[in-house]
Amino acid sequence: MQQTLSVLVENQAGILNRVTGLFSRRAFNIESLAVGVTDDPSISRITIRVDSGNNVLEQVEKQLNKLVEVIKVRAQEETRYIGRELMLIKVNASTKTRGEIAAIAEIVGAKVDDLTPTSMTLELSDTTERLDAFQAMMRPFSILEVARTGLIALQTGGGKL
Amino acid sequence: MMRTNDTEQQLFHFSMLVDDVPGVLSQVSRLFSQKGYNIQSIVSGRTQEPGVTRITITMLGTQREADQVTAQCYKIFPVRTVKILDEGTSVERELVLVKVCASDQGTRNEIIQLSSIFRADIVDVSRETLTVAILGNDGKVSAFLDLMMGFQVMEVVRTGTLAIERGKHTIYDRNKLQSEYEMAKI
Repeated sequence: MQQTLSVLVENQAGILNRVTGLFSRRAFNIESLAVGVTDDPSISRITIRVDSGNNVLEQVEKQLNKLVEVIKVRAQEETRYIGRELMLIKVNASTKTRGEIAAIAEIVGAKVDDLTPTSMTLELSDTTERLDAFQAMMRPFSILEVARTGLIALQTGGGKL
Repeated sequence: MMRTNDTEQQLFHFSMLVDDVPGVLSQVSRLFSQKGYNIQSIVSGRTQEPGVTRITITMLGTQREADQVTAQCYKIFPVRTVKILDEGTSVERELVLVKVCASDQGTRNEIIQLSSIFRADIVDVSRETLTVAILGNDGKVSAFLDLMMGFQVMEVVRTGTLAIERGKHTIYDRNKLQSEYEMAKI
């Protein structure tokens, strides 16, 4: 089962190591990981998508809380967060197919970042499902390259982590 | 033939394809942190191939440091390929979600207007808050966040910088990047 963990950590050298090391030792599968500074430059926020059962996640939370640099850990409840992911995708594009790709891009809200006689590079940020759907729609044109971030998430409404 | 900018600090994006096995991200990030390299961001995510993960590490350093760490990356078993992208040759993007306090109409309107100017999307609305998603390069994102800091910011979450090479070549190609050609000139 996919779970999303949001972790606030002190922004110190090696902290990312300590966090990911925790997961690798127990062989949990990290589906994705996104990390960046918050509005406070001394604090970073790590968003981790983990494939695991419920009990396992509790253990992970406990272990994370033991790390000195970890300020807070929260498992995001499925229905109550806004999750977004970023994708950059490069597809084969000739004069014949360029228009079709651009039309699909416009429908989903993707933007063209680069254009050559034989390729197009697009950017899209949306939920994981919509990104997967867009990627699937691009497949018939022949995908040259895909780069994705992990999921980042904030709870809906007025609360904060 | 000496390359003249071996000691200049530049921004590098290390784009790597690695096998999706437990611990690989940890190994890679340890390599960078052990040497004390100035890491600005790390992004890890899926590619179009199942079982293959793409890691993008943005580092501020010299060309020499970049070459050294590339060689060391290849020693890590699950690493398949490493390509260094720089500002001139790549599309760099970051996604940021910002939640701002916006309980009075004036503040709300102002935030909505700024979001519209930056082509940022409003992804959540509540009585007391607005959550905005902004996607762009470092300059655009920083400019927007600076403006948001003028309001009461509740939470910020960022993905880190993702980079992909401009043009028709991909991470799978061993082509020479623009900067390499220029460096070979005396």
